[in-house]
Amino acid sequence: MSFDLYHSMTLIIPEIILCLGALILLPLGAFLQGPRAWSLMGYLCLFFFGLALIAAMSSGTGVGFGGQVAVTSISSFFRQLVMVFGLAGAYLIHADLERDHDLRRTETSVLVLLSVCGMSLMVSSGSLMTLYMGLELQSLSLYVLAATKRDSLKASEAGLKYFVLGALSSGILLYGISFVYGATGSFTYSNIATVQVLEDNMLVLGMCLVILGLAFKVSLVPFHMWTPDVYEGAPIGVTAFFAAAPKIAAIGVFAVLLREVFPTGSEIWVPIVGVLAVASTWWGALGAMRQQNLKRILAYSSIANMGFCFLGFLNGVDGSSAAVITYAAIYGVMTIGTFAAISSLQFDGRVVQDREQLNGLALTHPRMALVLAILMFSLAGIPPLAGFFAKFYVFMAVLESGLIGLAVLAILASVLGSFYYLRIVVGMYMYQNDDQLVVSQPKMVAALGAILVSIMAFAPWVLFDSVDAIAKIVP
Amino acid sequence: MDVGLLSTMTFLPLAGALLIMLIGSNDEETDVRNAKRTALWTTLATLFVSIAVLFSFDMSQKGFQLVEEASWINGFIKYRMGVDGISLGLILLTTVLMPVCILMSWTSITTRVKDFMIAFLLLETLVIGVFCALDIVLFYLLFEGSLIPMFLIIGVWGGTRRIYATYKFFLYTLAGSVLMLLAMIYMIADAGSADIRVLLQHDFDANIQTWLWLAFFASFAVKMPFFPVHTWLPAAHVEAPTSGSIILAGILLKMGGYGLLRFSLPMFPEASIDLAPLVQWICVIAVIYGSIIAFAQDDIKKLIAYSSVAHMGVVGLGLFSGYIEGVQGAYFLMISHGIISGALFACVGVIYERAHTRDLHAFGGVLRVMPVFAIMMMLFTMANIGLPGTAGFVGEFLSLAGSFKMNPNLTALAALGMILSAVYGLWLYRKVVVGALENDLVKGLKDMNAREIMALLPLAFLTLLLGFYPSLVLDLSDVAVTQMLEPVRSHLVEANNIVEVVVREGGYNK
Repeated sequence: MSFDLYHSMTLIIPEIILCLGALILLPLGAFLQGPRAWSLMGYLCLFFFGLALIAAMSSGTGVGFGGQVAVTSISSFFRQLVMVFGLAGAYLIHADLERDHDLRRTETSVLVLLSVCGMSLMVSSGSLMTLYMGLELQSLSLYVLAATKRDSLKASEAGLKYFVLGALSSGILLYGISFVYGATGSFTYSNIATVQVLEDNMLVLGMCLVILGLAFKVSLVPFHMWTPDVYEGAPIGVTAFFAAAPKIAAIGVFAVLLREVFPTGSEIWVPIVGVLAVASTWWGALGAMRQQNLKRILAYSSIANMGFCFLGFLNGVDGSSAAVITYAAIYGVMTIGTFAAISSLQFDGRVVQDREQLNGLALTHPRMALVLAILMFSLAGIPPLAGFFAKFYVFMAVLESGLIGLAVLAILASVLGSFYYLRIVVGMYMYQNDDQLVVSQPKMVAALGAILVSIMAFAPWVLFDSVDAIAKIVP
Repeated sequence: MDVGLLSTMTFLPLAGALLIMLIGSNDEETDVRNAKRTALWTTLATLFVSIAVLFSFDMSQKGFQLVEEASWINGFIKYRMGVDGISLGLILLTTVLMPVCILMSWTSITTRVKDFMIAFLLLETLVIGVFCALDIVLFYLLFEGSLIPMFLIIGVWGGTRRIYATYKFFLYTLAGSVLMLLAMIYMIADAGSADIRVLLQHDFDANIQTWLWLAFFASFAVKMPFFPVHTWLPAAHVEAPTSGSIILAGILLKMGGYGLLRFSLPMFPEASIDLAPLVQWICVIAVIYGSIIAFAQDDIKKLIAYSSVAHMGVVGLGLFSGYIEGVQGAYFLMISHGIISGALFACVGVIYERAHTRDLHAFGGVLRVMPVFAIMMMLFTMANIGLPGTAGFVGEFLSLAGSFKMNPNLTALAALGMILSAVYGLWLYRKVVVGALENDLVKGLKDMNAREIMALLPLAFLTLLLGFYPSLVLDLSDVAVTQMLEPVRSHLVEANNIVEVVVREGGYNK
């Protein structure tokens, strides 16, 4: 196996930066003393994210390390998304540390860097081995992050649940990879893609297991059970981090795997993805209705959103990934914005937990209420906000495939789902509450999210043109 | 990119809303006063621009005018604006009613006045946009977007059961609309364009047409509202603040009729003909049922709301009559009902603000203490009944005349509803305005003030003007309605294998 080392290295500069950052921060954290050490670490972490983002934006495409790494236009875009939302998530975690003394640990920054490095590696992987390594790097870091509030029972439970179920799904994935290897004799995507999936039952089984193993990471029904508990148990900054970057990375992996690695198996994966997606939209909508806890509501909301996002794959191999990419980008903005809004609202020194605590917010903090209301309407998919455009594109993809029944089912789920978003708006605007909430940082992130989703209608071509261009250059 | 007249008209209210949002002073009273004034002047300016649009519009010309086009989502979904006679009439209705709404909420809205004005101006932008949109995605975007401000207007400034009402309003309308969205996406893929002009020319497969028609009907029938999906309307009307009710009855309901006229009829002519009997039955039931239920109400607002259901039934009969005069009548009725029901809700607002009740039985003899109000109320009640000489008559008559040619028996039943409308209308007037002045509550009422008279006078003037000179509206929409009905007509002629009679002969005109 021979390859151009220099060229290969240039492809993974963003990952290298993140890795180096983690390696620098790890000893630094051990030696740095003083009350603001965690803060300095946080800023350094953000700095490395910034560097990595610049590197990811200026990175070219190509295949490196003998096929182990393959940066296509799609994976490059997803890598940038992962960096952006990793950065945003890291900032929210940092804001969390500002408030909660128990969380002030220097290793948090290191774990965040390592996990985003793993995600980035996942989306730019060129072989199943690299994919698995990236996935494990991110997962292991995330398990620890979930339990970062060590004294909290719920956080420990979240970490443990995430770990046990995550290990199970990794096992399934690995099992699937072994089948794929057994059938094709190769790990690299380009080799696997040349094999006709449908002619080999072992390969079909392998492909299905890989899909199901990864479905856990994006919490598609029925692999979603961990989501509400982990979201609830983890500190809110970490939850925000969980909700955006890892999900988007996993969507990126799906975009590569389904369309470029198993294009010949689309007859099998289209129905699988379709059923998982529609089930997620319904389960997410129904599940969220019974919840009072904001984080659990958002957990179910993310399940439903992942369902909608995966509907974008239903146009099969010949269709473009534009819908999925668009959905991922808009979902990230809405999610980060919403979590930022919630984590900026405190009651009695603690971040709001219950949706009823938001009641009457429009009277006490009209601006914050407006921001959150815009984000809620956007999540509900009401035009002219960005969430509508995301859903619109996805449904275009579904109808392209002719699966009208599935489209009708999913769109009805979106109506059902709009109810619990509306309920939050209704609470903020139409009820009264004596509790005085305090607004703090990261309210600017929330405001930025709300502005982004509301100006989308005025210049949608900015996103759509670039996404269409990316999706069309697929080899 | 040049900013055209239509874009100016559409986004002027949005600019006003932003202005209100940005201006602020420490003194809350000044703030509120500024917000009200800005809102009023913005709506008046928009009215002015819409009149400018009317003057630069050529009524004799076919097709859309003042067209604007700019890049938007992608190659085939663009920002396209344009008006024809149908949309222009509804736009003018909107711009006329908006200042009235602002004036009617001048003192009745006491909390969060600034937010209220912002929501209202936002709503105006969205509604005008709906009627201007020449791109089907843009249309949907604005059509759905109008739910947000209305949701807040009912939910924040409404009555005691406002939250129930606003949920019902939102979820009913949303559930209806999403199916239309799927149909729209299908149509875009099928025709290769989201341009309404292209879609109007496109022949959709007859089998698919039925499904597309049903999906669109799901949305517009909820919006109209047609029986049996009308139940959100009384709830929303009763709970909404006065100006919310005016805008709901006056304009938002018209978006349903506009949609049927713009999309369902011309784009799916075969399905429209096939399913017309269904619509006619639904409408006849709505006319009779709505009138009877209206008669049973104690709440004045609910009574008017059910009368709206009945009137929309007549609109449906006219639209699906398949004859030009029927459709023209339905269109006229949409405009006149917008003015009349809007004015009636304003009247209810006037007495509600004074007496704090809408119970019919709490009044009686209002005439003695509020003579000006009594005159106004009489004019609008008579117009609502459909008295000749008022705008209400022309539309109902033409709709039923068109419908009669299609199905005389059903129309006879629907005409029964007209008698019923007189029953509840006169009953309402008798209960509230005339009668002995016995009630202490009523004795203390003060007559309408100058602001309220200023708000209602233009509507009263229009009611009479259109009643005596209906050609103002009919000429405006004539060319466009003929064009929209053309596909249905040609299919009907084909199906019946008859020689087309010049429909307009002996019709409403000349």
